[in-house]
Amino acid sequence: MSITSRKVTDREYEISLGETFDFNCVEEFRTAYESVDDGSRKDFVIDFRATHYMDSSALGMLINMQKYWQERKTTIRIINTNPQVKKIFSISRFDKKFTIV
Amino acid sequence: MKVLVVDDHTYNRDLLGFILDDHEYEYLEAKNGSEAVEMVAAHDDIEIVLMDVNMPIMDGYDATRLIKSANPDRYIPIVFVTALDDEETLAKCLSVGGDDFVPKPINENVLVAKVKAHQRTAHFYKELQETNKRLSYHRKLMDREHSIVEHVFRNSMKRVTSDCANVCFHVSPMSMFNGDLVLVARSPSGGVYLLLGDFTGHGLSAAIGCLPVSDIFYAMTQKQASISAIAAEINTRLQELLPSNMFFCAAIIEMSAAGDRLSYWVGGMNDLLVVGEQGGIEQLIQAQHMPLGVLESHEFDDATEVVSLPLNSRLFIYTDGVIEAQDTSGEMFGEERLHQLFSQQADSYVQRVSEAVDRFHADGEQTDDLSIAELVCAPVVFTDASMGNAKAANEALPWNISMKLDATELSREGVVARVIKLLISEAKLDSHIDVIFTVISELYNNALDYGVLSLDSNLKKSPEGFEAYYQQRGRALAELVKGEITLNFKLSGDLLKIRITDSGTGFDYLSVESDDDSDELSFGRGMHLVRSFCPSVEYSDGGRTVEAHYNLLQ
Repeated sequence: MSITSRKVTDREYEISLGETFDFNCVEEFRTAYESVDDGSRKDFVIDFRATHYMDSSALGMLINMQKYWQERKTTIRIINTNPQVKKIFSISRFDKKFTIV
Repeated sequence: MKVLVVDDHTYNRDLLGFILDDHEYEYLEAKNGSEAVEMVAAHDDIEIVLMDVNMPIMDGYDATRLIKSANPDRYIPIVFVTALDDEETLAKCLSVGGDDFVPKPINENVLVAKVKAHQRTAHFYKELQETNKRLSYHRKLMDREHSIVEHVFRNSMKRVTSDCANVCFHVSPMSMFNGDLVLVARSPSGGVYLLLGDFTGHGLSAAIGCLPVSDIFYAMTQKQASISAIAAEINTRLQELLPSNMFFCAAIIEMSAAGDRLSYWVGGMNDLLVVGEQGGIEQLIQAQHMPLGVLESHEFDDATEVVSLPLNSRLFIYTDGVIEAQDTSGEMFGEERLHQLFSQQADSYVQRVSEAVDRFHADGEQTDDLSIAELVCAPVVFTDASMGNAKAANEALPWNISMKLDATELSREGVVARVIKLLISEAKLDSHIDVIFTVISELYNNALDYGVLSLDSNLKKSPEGFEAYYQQRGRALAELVKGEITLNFKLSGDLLKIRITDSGTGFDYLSVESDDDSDELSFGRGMHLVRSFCPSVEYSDGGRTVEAHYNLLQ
């Protein structure tokens, strides 16, 4: 399992990714955010601390996650991105769609 | 051990000699003071002198004075044997350095008793001298060893200078070695790590544990390890190393680059204080855990807490040395006194607290190491900008790697990751490798998905299709029997030239680039990314070959 999720509070969940976040994670990642869905609004923190490698499908997965939750005003914060990963996000203009810290 | 008998009368010498013989003392004889001085100098086994007062050539007084002054390091009791018993004579005997008297006529019992007593003293003196010699030898040895160890510590702790503007700390060891430890490191994502801890005891034995802790801390923070992982690793190592009565109370904290998110693991420490921007303690953070080095790895609880504090609030951390500091009457500084220091706003609470403790202390003796640190919750700023990407090997040699993958190899997992493992050995690519992964992934997956497997990217348009697409891809790969992709990487100067050719029939490489810039699409960003990082990207041969140049100077 390269993706783990952890309940922080009733509303807040933290999803930690592995070294590589690419198309091989599609199902696992979706399960991580869908399995906590009890119909109420959630706040997510996605921890990129261990992540070095990602491809454009990673961006797709994040977009899909946002679509899945968008009607419930869910916040998705992306944390601990290393400078190179941050660069990929900013070039894809993801820093406008997600809170990246 | 020999006794020296000094007397000008043969009769007296014989009598004394006779008595000494009888009690099995070895003795030497001198006929006057001058002879006595020479003999003491010549025989270092002479331990007691029996001295007559009046003698020709040199009397007993002068001889005594000379013997004592010539042998400051030898303990040679001089016992005057004299018939004179007037006060003046006795006083003079003492003033020239004599130690005792035996009256004439000689009483055998008295003489032997005195010789025995002085022999005992001489013996003690000798022992003491030996012990002193040994002590000073060991002391020198220890000083030398300390200075070596100090050198090692100084070098290994050299990195402990905070170049992070958000962290301020003060460490005051009570001896040369410190059982308290403060470590600061930047995290690759721009945040900051802080560790403050206190080993049981102080001095060298407490300090020794600092070495593995700082090694682990720096190695793991560099890889942006989580607080949990760092705590668990330190615990395991200390558990292996330390005797069971020794452990490490510590707070390990990570603050995000924006300063809005603190993760912490605190074991066995005093409450951490959260201080508001305008002063005043707003919250106490209690240790959730036992100190490090106590529990076995399988019992260890690595749970961290996460808290968001208002901008410009401060986290204040301190070791026992602060509240246990004593004044001259033995009263302790205490938590209450400490907490009062926060009621008024300060530029630096570290300074305020350390000064208050110093004042309280006055002339009292420092009994424990003392460390304090504060962390300002605000966007993290490092003052030293040079620490970023080390400009490693500018002198990289040019190289060229080429590989041809067949159907079996293409269907294996993690092809790009393995390629990256090959490239990572080139130091010049170090600070680019994450982005290079993305670039190669995009180009390779296009070649595989659209070239070799002829998949339809339109499927990815809906979230359901997105997943279905990758399932379809997996099936197609598993069934693949024919197909080839050739990868070629060439480093020339500051360009990494990437060339990928597939055995497919070509594909419409323009259509996989989303012309629709809408942010809602979950695909089509790949080529945009590649073009952003590579100044030159060219498809040829109907889409079967792509060449991209990644610029290492960006």
